[in-house]
Amino acid sequence: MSELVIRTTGLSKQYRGGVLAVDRVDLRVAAGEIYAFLGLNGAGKSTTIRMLLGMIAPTGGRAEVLGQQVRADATELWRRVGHMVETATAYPELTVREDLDVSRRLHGVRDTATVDHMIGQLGLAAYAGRRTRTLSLGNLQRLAIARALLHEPDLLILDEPANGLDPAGVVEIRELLRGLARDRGVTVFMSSHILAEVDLLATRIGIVHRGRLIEELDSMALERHRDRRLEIGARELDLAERALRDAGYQPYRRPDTAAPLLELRELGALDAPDEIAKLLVAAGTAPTHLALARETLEDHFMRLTGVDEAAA
Amino acid sequence: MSGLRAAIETELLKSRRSRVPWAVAIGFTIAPLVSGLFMIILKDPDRARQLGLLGQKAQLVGGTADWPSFLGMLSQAVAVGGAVLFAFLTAWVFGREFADRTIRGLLASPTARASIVTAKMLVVAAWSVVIAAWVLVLGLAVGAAVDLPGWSAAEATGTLAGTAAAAVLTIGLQTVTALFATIGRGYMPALGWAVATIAAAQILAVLGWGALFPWSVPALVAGAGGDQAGSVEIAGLVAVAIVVIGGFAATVTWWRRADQTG
Repeated sequence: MSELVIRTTGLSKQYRGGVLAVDRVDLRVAAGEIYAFLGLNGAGKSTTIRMLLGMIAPTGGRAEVLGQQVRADATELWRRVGHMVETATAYPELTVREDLDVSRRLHGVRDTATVDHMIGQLGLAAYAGRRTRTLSLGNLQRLAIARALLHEPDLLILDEPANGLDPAGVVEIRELLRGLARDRGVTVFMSSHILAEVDLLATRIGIVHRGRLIEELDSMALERHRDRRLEIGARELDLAERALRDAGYQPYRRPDTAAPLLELRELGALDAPDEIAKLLVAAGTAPTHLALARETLEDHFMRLTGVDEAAA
Repeated sequence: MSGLRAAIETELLKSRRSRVPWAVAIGFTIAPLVSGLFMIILKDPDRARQLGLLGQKAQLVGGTADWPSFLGMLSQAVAVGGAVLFAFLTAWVFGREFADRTIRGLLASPTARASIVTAKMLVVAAWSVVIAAWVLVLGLAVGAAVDLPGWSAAEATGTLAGTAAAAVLTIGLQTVTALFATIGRGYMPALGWAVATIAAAQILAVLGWGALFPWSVPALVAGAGGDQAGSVEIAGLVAVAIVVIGGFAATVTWWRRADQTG
């Protein structure tokens, strides 16, 4: 793995009153990655993000960002980090241009043209002279992202960046973040509820549930989730697995389903499931379940966090 | 302090664009105008009745229409009104960051949190000084327009100096108002604190402890406080200094150390 931009070890936060918001989270985010942090409301995403930004002190473990231990007043570190935490906000009495100018000054950016550049890049030119109190939620979100990008940070920490954006805006921001990662090597650490968007953008995903990081999916695992597969159920699964192997397939036994299933990903099986059925019947174990499936990230997330079971 | 100049520039921009400091200035402008109105009524009650400024049966008890009375009235208005209006300004400058949730943009920034707090305090102080000066200048203009008798340059200078000193002390005490806006994450706790200190200052002054209670001291310096007027003790001024420095240090510490969840 290349240089680590975010590294947490046993990072924990217990609020007064005993609520354990984040529980021993170990994160490793490498330079240039787009890492998505997924979780239900209250899972600990925002608390983790705030700890990474020095807004909240951990009660256990440690966090390092860009090789430095996170501290509230690590002013040189924050020069290299852009962030947007939870809902987008702005000074209501200021215009879009003035609001960005406040951020420019606080980040020590001398070139005043940067403000207009960001206004253009985030599609805010028509609103530049308008007070931020008149902006729609989507444009407020664009302004918050512009503020995070203004000082050309090496690391972007974004909490729900697609929140409130219209479909075109979602695509624009996706392309912008992807371009920053690809062309400038900017590392993006983002939380999101929009799983389809995460699926399209992230190179790695961490799923946090009840304060704990319960799974990380790298790009290969993500790709596997995007793949089609043929799900096979049979009363005698061992026999079915053997028959499929003998026929040259490479069945994968799913350990995470209520009833055991086999999966095939070979094109031959996907294009002719009837042939698989015939093969299993001939082997003496007729299929009880045969379905072409494609698990979305959402399916995976729901299953992992137990939301579908709770809803049922 | 890292980024102090940038922080001051941004605080000045925000306050200039907001209605709140201007509203405070307008609110304070009422003090010399109302004081002038009282002088007009006191000067010629019959004419005031004819003009409808005074009810037919109303009688004004005490007070004379002259420069010493007018400046005394102005001085008390600045001391008591300042405690309310400067607190309002401070509550807004600090509390708005939490109420509008703009605090997040100030954290994790190359500008140190201590610089941001210092800049806010300086901008509050600057606005307050300008407003107090404006009120005093306007007061002199109103007094001259009413053509009050009894002008004495030496006496006026003394009263105005006392008023200015009271205003400075009141402005300094706002560091604690800032602390309450910060801890309470909004305007209301700070305003509640301001009201509580004004009430406590009145009560303690009546009980004879005003000279030692920091929030009573400015009014005493301004010449208010009846029998205790002018009875300012060094201990009282030291108490004010301790509160000012303590309030500032505590506010900076809170910004730097407390969990920022807003």
